[in-house]
Parts: sequence; C-alpha cells; structure tokens
Amino acid sequence: MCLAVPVKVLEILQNNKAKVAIDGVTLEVSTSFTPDLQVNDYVIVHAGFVLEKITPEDACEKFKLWDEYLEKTGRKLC
Amino acid sequence: MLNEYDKIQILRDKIQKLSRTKVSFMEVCGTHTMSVAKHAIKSMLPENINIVSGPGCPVCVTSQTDIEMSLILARSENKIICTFGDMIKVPSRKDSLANYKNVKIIYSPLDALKIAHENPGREIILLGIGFETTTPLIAVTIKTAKQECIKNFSVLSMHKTVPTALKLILSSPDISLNGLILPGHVSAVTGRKYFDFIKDYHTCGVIAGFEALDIMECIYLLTKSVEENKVEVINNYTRIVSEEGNQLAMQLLYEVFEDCDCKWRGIGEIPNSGLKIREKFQAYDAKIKFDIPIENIAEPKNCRCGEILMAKKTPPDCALFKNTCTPLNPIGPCMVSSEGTCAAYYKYL
Repeated sequence: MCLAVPVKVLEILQNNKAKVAIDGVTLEVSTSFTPDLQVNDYVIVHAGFVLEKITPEDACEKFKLWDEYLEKTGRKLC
Repeated sequence: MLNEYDKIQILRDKIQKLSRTKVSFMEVCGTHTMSVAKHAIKSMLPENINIVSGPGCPVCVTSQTDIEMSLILARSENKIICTFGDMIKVPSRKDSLANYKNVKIIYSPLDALKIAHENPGREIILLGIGFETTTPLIAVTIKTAKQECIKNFSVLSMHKTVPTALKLILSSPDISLNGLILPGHVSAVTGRKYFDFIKDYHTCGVIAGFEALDIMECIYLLTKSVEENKVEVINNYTRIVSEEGNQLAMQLLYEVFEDCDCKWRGIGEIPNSGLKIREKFQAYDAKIKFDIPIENIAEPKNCRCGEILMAKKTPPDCALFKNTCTPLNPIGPCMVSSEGTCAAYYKYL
C-alpha cells in the first residue's frame, strides 16, 4: 500500500499544491510536507502527496526502467 | 557497465559465500512481501537464509471489528464511504464493502473532500488505514476539512504505527529473528533513526527499496552484519530516506492524531500501537460522530492470518489456503490484500 512513484514538478500552484508529470500524464498533488519545492524538481508521490525530493539521477534511473518496460511490452501510457 | 541482472547475480554469489549461520530475516512491509515473491528472491538464497513475512500490510492487520464497523457505516443511510482499493473485498460475516454502491475507491484522501463538496446532503466517511507513510496524508485532509469548514466529512481511524508491533515480535519467545528488511516508504517519513530501537533486541535492520536489486542488497547487508556479529540499522535506500525523515509530515501526524491502544488482527490489543484523532479535531472522528456500536467479532474459523502475520506459520500451513481461501473467494485479509502474504504465495510460489 505504501507505493510511491517518481515524477517531475511542472508548476507550483497555490494552497500547497503542485502540478507534476510522468510521461505526459499530469496530476495535481499536495506539497504539504515539502513546502520548498521548485519547478523541475523530481519528487516521489504517495496517494496524491509529495513525500520527498529525489535527485535527477535517481529519477532518471527509474524513468529508464519504465521506458524499457513500455518498449518491451509495446504499451503506451497515453 | 553492469546491468541490474548482473549486479543481482554478483550479490547472489556474495551472499552464498558469506552465509554460514542459519538465520531468519523478516520483510516488515507488504510491498516487500510482494516484491520478494515476484522476483523469486528466495530461490536465489542459500538454505541457511529464511525469509518470513511480517505485519506490514495495513489491510491484513485490520481487526475484524474495524472491518465490521466500516460495514455498519456503509449499510446506514445517506453515507458515502471513501477507501483505498485494498479494503474493498475484505469479508466480514459473508459481506464486504464491495457489495455497496455508496462505497467509492479513491486515489488520494483529498479526493474524499471533493466528494464531500459535491454531496452536501450526505455524510462522507474516509476509512483511515495505513502506517506512518499514509497517516500524515489523512492528518492533512482532516486539517483541510477544518480550515474549509467542511462539516459532512469524517475519518474512521484504523491507523497503526510500526514500532510497537515490531517490539512485540522481537520480544516474543516463539519467534527468532536475526534481521529486519525495514519498510522504505514508512522510513521516508520517519527517518532511519526511528528504527534504532531494534538494536535493543540484538537484531539488525536494513531500510530497503522495492526493486529486486534493492532487496538483494539488503539481504547481503543483513547477512554481513550477522556474520560479522554486528548489530546495526543501515539505511540502504538513501535516494529517498534520510536520517531524520520528513519531520514536517511527522509533526502534522501528531498534531491531528495521538497514540492509543489498538487491536491488531491475529495479534490482539497492543498498547499505544494505534492512532486516534485528537479531541481538537473530534468533529472529524467518525467513531464519535456516529456512535457506531462496537462488538468484538471473531476472526473466521481456521483462518491462520494472525499467525502468518507474526511469522509463526506460512500460508501452506493453513488448511484453508488454496482450498476454500483463494483470491476469488478470500476468507482472510492476507489473501484479499494485493500485498498479503497468502496472495503472494498463491500468485508466485
């Protein structure tokens, strides 16, 4: 249940919210636990909340795995 | 450059070489349980190393009484129940939340507030389950409801904390553990230091991520600690977990919740192992708002979920497993939850 996924911050919104994206899918999430976020930061999201910032290198490693999975299974996200 | 597969093979060989002592390591988190089974981790380990599952699947440790309370609310008029998907099929007295049209599966707890806005004439009840990863989210949702004066929203808190259950397991004379595979995303919130107490029980711990490589690294580090006679708590998930964790999330959690005694499925009541909503926020406490009749409901006959959660038995030891208890017709929560030990055994082993 404690799954968390890496995403990139696209826009900081009002009321402790941010717009984030992964592979073209965008989502509005709460930044209540990470008030110092900036655009282009990479973060992990659990159930609509940003839990922590992560480094771009770690995020890219995850995205590479994800791309490999999509390529091998012939699936597309959108 | 080595790929993940090569790295796993190297670790497998290192573990094989290093392992001399017969040991048991417990994966505390339900997501680890699934990952260990899915990646066939056990098949890569020497006979000396036994991996057992622990009480880290929040649905699995929810007591039958709490499940019945959720059902009482679902059956009563004019209410909408919001829940994470895992809870939907947990049976109680041949009924489950899946049988009710007024039960909605949500992605984020904040979705429950949107539903409250859209349905001003109905009471919205969010089922609060989960450990330290999820409870701060529910705390923020309750605070937001208070700030926005949303009156038709409340939470049925079934939240629990990890350390108390681990202390109970580590002090149990029936269970002998040499190391813990500690939960990665709980630790992202709590920080590494939070788990230092396990050293008092002469047990090692390694905070691990959820990929096959993360888990193999964790088992290698645990084996190394045991063989070198060291007792330590190592953070091997530094890309996400820090020493102190997310203190803001922990502050918000304890601003809204306080410790309380709590009943765990199969384990029984553990003092100070649960979280209840503080008096300041009690207008959002479904247990107070709706005066739900609480009666102790017995767990299903012959179901061994409780002993499985305490690592005293494995799913094949249960007479119901794969006979009358299957993913299509689950009897105990360890088969219902996608992260339950029985579900993992059924699917992968």
